[in-house]
Amino acid sequence: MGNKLRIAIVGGGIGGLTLALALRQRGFEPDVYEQASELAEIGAAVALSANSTRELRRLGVLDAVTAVSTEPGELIYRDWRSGRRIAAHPVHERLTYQRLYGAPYCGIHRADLQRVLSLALSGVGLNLDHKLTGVRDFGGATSLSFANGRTVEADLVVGADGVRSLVRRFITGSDDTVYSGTSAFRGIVPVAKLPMLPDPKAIQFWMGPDAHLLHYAIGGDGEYVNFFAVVEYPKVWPHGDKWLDPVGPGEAVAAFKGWHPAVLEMVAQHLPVRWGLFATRPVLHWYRGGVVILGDAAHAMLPHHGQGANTTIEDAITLAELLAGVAPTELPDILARYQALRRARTRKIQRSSWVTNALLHLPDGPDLSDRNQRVARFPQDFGWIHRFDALQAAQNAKHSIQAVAAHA
Amino acid sequence: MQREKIEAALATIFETAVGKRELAPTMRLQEDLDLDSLTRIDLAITAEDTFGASIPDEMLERFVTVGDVLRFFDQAAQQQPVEFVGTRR
Repeated sequence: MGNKLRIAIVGGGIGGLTLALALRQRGFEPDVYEQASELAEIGAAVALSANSTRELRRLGVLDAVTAVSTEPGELIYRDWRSGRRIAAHPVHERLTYQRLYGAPYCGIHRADLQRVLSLALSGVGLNLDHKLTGVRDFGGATSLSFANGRTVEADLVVGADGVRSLVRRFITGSDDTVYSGTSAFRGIVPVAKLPMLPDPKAIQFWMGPDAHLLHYAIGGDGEYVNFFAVVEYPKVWPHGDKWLDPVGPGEAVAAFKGWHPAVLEMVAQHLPVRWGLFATRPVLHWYRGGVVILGDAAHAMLPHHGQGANTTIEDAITLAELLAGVAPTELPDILARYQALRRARTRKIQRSSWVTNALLHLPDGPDLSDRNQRVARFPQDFGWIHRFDALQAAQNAKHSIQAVAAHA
Repeated sequence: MQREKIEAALATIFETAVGKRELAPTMRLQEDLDLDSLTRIDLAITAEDTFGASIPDEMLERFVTVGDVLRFFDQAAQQQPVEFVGTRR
């Protein structure tokens, strides 16, 4: 009966597509509305950790994901200038990560992940060229209007529409986006063009004063390196709603002056844009009536734990599992339960990513020995992020609702 | 009434977080209760859900004692109409 629920998903990114897949697996027929005319994420990769790859396995797409991704050999922290290994933790080596957390760690191009997910959906229910312009609640149902003139009605609208979410604006009535005071250069470079790089298949953080460089390999054979170089400026983002700012080719090299040659060699090959790094301030309400948000729309975070996409996938699985087999009348309870399950966890990771930014950007000096001890402990300290089982958590919550209902 | 509710809610949160129910306003969160920054977030979320007021992350770091937390929630609760409690928007 729950399958009759009309579900509209706004946004065909990782969150929207994962949700659509998880809902289809549970017998729903959701529609996805994506503003772009094709599914093509540009110029960026994503690191998938066990908390999301265990869900991709349950969705039947993990093999397709691992075929086009790389599991890093080690997680290595290095000094910005000397390149000294400050701490190193095995990941693929001796299959340490998978043994610890029950699923692999995958460096993958976003476009590849999007392709795997949309192939699994066979394009069913995918509506491109649908840019959302309005959300209207008229008691019991919600209507969505799009720039192409179309209007659709749904019992449940899920905003998977990113950090600048229009759906979130409908829920909270405000713009909850905050600029972090940090920005990034990115690029994807063939390993062959990085002759100075030690350990090209590792995921590595190069940490220095007011900046860091993160990189990891992607592709089926680790043939490319995806990098992300963060600097502590501009303090105020002067480009309004645009989070990409065109920059000249020498910009990143100037920003990393004095860093290790391997760093300079890599950042020199950045895309000609600077990314402003934005987050969502913790919002009290993730839903209003039959309208709910997930992923960056609900909790955009700084990328320093590499958890934006992973927590988005967790959100999608949680929501789909809570909705399975539920009557439309139970929707308010389900959405409340979803918010309760997701808000604390994502806020902790959001907060922790924020704090980690400062740790990665310490100047040379006495604080470094404390930092070095902390990065040596990272796997133990952040195991809670990777160990999490979203499906299990949703099922436990569901059983507790049913148990209460049975006693009522 | 409101203050009793806050104290009861806090006691429950602290009990879950640090296994301690008997709280004194002078107790220090970090030194006496070993309340780390992530547990502070549990505290904030539960309080937000209970009182319908938003607690910014920066505020969490500024709390030193149990009394600080209590005072903040007291003030937050006073700024919200009572019928707001427990409802959405």
